[in-house]
Amino acid sequence: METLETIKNLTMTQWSFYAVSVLTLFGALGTILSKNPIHSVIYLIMTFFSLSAHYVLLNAQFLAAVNIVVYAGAIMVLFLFVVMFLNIKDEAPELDNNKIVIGASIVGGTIGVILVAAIRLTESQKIDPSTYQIKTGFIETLGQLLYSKYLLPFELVSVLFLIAMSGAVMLGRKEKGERNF
Amino acid sequence: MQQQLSHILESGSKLSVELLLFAGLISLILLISFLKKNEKARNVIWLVSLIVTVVSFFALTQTFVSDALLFNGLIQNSSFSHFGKSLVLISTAIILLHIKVMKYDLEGEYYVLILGIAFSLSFLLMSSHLLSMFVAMEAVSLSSYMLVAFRQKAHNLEAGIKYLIFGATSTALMLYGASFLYGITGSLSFAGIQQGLTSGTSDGNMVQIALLMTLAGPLFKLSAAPFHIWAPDVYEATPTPLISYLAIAPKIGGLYIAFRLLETVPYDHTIILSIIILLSILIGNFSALTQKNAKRMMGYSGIAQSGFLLVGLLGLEITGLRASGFYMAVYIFMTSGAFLLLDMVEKQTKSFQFSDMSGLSQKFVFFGIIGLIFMVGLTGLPPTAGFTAKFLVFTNVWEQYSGGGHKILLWVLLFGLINTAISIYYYFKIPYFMFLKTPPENKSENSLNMTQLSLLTILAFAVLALFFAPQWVQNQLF
Repeated sequence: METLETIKNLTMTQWSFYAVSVLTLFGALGTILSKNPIHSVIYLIMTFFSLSAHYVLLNAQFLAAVNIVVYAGAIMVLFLFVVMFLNIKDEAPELDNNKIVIGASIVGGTIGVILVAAIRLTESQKIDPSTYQIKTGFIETLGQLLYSKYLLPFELVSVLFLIAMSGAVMLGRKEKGERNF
Repeated sequence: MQQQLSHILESGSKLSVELLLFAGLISLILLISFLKKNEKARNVIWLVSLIVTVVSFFALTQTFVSDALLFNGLIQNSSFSHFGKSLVLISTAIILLHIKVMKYDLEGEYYVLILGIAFSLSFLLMSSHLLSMFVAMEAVSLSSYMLVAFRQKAHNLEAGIKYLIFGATSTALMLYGASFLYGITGSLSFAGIQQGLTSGTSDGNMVQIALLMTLAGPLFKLSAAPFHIWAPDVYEATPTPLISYLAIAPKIGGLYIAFRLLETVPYDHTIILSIIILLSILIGNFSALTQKNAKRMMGYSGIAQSGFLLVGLLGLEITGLRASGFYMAVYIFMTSGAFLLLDMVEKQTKSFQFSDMSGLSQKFVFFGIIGLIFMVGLTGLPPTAGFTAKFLVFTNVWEQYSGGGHKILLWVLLFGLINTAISIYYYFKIPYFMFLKTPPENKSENSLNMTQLSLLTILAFAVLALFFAPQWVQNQLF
């Protein structure tokens, strides 16, 4: 009865949170459980979209937009393209190997149980709506932080990309006399 | 705003070593783009990277160490980071010399990645904030993955993919844990987290779990259990000088970050850390026993050695950290020397199998004796610095235990000593085959290269000298 009361008293935000969470988990499970790689990719895109909805709920609109544009848009489309291009007809054999599936489930399940137990024991502080800064997740605040307080990691990331780019060029280069696809 | 800008500008002026390395990185990329792709150009690129490393090292000795927080508390140039940076630059120089004396004709991008690792490691060694730690650590990881996969042979790519997948998993775990730490304390900087945990009423279990997950990153860098699985495959597939670098340099950063994270969370970590140490030493040693390939054996030995490196962190005393720092310094010379030895053996026999090394020292007695020094050092026996290093870290454990520490410390001490004895078996396999087995009849006569032998001798001299004069390193240690 008590749970029924709680469900009745849920606010609109909470309803949307639960709905989006169910979608996210459904997409994540679909990604790892579907045997066809293309289905996996499409489930993953769904997960990204519902994650973006979570960002909006957390008042991080810019992050939500970037997540859709970069991950769900660019990266996943590229991913889908590669999967289709390579024409992987064979269904993933990993799921038929019971040893791997059982081992992975045990490890993942244990971490999950430990985390759930620990989080249930923790008291979380509620945010006070009256003092909450509405501008927290706005792009303006983010830009100001990135170029003042977090300038160093921001610049470090550009070095990281430089190294990654030179490495990627090298890895993608064809050697003479080598068989190409 | 004005104040913040001047703070950033002032902080930037204290990063002379990093700026030098970065300038070197950029000039290498420019040289690669505009020089022709021939051997002469590659020699120029090698020379430039060596000059950058040496100049940065001398710039480092000139810099003034202060514990002040730079860039709004993102990094802190403490005395241990100063020491760690000098170790990184020394190992970079050793590896560059190794590449040259063994006549590897590597393409320019390799040097970009090697300097990239040195650059990111010096930021990792200074980080006092979860964000700067994460970015620096990812830069190290990314360069390492590419160094492993570069040769584009099937087994290189396989090792690279394995390394990437294990690395990405441990990074994901680390980020997840870090996000919990942030959620609990509301701060990303190490000092802020520490303050939040001591003053707040947060639940101990959750903090411990979050810390353990965050440790996944540094433990992966150290190749300590349970994040060790990548080590043997990667060690076997990667070209020798590169894996020699990957075996020493990221461990310096991993050790420091592990210390900082453990120090940040003000709880008793003895049991968790002891279990990690015991697992690493056990897995590393017992898997190394049955190996037939010397490079694979070095991979398992690296797992065991990182267990010994972590022993100094037990109790989180400054003497323990000093012991671990000394161990790290000795480990650099021992490991790079051992890999150079294996590389020279490979030049003679064309393989890394123990059985092919038979009787090599009967031909080259001096070479064999030098090789023996490294293996004695890795085992931890006198008269090499390996003994001093093991002695110092175990003294730290004994002091912790006799000062009323947990019972598990005695187990660490006993297991460490027993496993040192066990490791004699596999480390001495190399000298055993080289000295005592009879060489096969139809051996082609190759003579040893003198420059290779002299670099090997210098490294062996360092391993011996630090036994007789450990103060050379200890005076540098904070």
